[in-house]
Parts: sequence; structure tokens; C-alpha cells
Amino acid sequence: MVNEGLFVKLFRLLPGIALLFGVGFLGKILEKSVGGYSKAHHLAWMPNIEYVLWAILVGGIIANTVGVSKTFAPGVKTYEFWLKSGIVLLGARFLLVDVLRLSARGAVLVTLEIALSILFMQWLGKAFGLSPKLTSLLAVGSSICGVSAIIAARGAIDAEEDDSTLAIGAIIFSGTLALVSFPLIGHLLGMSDQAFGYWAGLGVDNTAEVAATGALYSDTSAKIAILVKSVRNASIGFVVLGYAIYWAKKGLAKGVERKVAFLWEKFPKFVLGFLLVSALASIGFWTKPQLASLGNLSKWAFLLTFAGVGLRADFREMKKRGFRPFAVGALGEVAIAAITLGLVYGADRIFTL
Amino acid sequence: MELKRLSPDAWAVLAALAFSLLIRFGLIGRVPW
Repeated sequence: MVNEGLFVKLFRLLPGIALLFGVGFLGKILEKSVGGYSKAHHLAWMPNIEYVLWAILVGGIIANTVGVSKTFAPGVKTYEFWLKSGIVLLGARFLLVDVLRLSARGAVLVTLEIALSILFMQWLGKAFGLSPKLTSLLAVGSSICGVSAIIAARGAIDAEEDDSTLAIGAIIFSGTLALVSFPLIGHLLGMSDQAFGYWAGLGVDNTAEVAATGALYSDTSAKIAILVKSVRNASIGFVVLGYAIYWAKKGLAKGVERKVAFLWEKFPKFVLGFLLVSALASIGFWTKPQLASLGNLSKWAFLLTFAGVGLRADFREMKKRGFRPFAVGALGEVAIAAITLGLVYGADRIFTL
Repeated sequence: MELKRLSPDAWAVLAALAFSLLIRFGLIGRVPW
């Protein structure tokens, strides 16, 4: 039975959701009006800023000036919900055969990326003298999927609450760096939409930032980036299980008894939703106009996500927490960006991505 | 199953599937962008 608590909970989310919508919609309006103004006045020097960046910018300005008050905070946190709903709906824009083909290539690259990133982050954490468990969290966060991977690993390796808060802050910080730098580098190198999509999916830490980085480049890049990132997300259970066994062997965490149940528990279920929608779309469950509607609905869900990315990028909070974890996060991001760029270039030569 | 027990992932999947069914059976018309 649905009790009253659930409705009260949902009601508390409304102000924050309205704020996400308002910020996202403002982003859309700014894209049109500023873009239209610069076109009408022939301001060629003015870059065409897309709604994705406007939504993040407006959100970031709010977060770092007036801040997000307690009334809005619970609803703003729903950006993860919009992100995952958006990914499930995005399945409608893929044929299942394409998903399988792209994921098979993605899986090879993801395996290499995870192995190289973990090795590098372990070394970097040691070099900076971070605690071993904070280093493990940062390694999991930057190799797989940012915040949700850190949360999954926190319980499994019995890490300190403070370490995981720091690791999450550092991952979000480096994700913001990627958002700004990846599209610029992609354009400088003249990367194709496909290659950029693979790079963003492999190199950017957090799923929301992956979607935003891909969308800043092109629609195709966003689709591929999200798909590759989903393959990365799907591997979360295996990596976390590996770390749990490692720490348990050292006697510093309790072991995992039921490994299959553990893997299922950590498996991101929205990936299954994405596959289901893609399979239904492939057998013609929806008409063409209906598929277009589903695609648009997915875009609206992502719009709320991008507003959320800006609204939680509170740099004042990061300043309070000390510099080192953020430096490790940022350095790790730069190195992983370089490693994954190399991987994508190599793969592009072999498969023509 | 109690609704409160659903994981955030499951909520997102259910919401997306519900909307896609509403669109399939014409209860939601064209979604503009």
C-alpha cells in the first residue's frame, strides 16, 4: 500500500524539480535568444553556446552565489533520477543490433580503460600520500562511474564517510573540468562525432557529465558517449567486488559471501531498462512519430540533469575540504583523458569508429 | 512489493517505461522539443 509518507516525500521534491526545470528551460531560452542576437547582429566572434552549457552555467552561478536552499535541495538531488530515466528512454533511438555492435567495441576499450585507470590512480594516491581507502575510492570513481561507484564501494570496503564525501567532491570537480575541456580538445583535434562519443564515454567520470560533454559536441556523440558509459557502469559490480576481496584479505573489511547476489545488487538496473526499450524499438513497438516523441522526452529528462550538474557544482564547499584530493582527482582526470584519447585513436585506426 | 522499497534505479526504469507505454497507446500525443 502507498502510505502518506510517500506523498509527503514526493511533495518535498516539487520545489527542487521546479528549479531544475526552470534552470534547464532558461538554458534553452538563452541558447535561442543569445544565438539569435549574435546571428542578427553578425557577431561572428561570439561562440554559439548550446542549451547544455547555458543550463550548467546558470545552475553553477546559482550554486556559487545564493546557494541551493534546504527547500530546493531534495528535489535538486533527483537529477540522478532524470538522468537514468533519460538513458532508458534513449534506448528508443538505438536498434538493438547497433547497441550490441557498439557495446562490443566499447567493452574492449572499457576493460583497457578500467585496468589502466586503476593502476594509475593507485600510484597517484600513493604519491600524494592519501589514505589507502580514499585512494581506492578515487580509483573506483575515476575508472568506472563516479559518484554511484564510490557509494557502491564505500559500503563494500568499509571506508570512512568523510573519505567518500571527499572522493565524491573530487570526482564532481574533475567532471566539471572535463565538461569544459573535452569539447574544446575534440574540436582542436578535429575528432569525428563517433570518436568523440567514445572518448567522452571512456574518459569522463560521472554519467551526468558524460551526457553533458557528449551533448556539447553533437547529438551523435551524446548517444555514443552514454552507451559506452553504460558499459562502464555495468562493470561496477566486478570492480567493487575485486576491491572488497582485496580489503577483506588485508583484514580491513568484511568479505563478500554471496558473490552472484552481490554482483546483481551492484548492477545498474537502468541499463536493463535501456536494453528493453531498445529491443522494443527494434521490433517496431512504436511508430516513427512515437519514437521521435520518446527521443524528445529523453532530451527533457537530460535537460533537468544538466541543470542539476550546475546546481551541485558548489566550488565554495570544495575549497573548505582541502586541496589534495581535488588535485589527485584533477591530475587523474587529465591522465585518464590522455590514456583514453590514445585508446580511442588506436581503436579508430583498427575499427574506424 | 512495497513502493518505498524500490531502488532509485528501479523508479527511473518504471517511470520511463510508463511514459513510453502512454506514448505507445496514444495517451500522450506528440512531445515537442
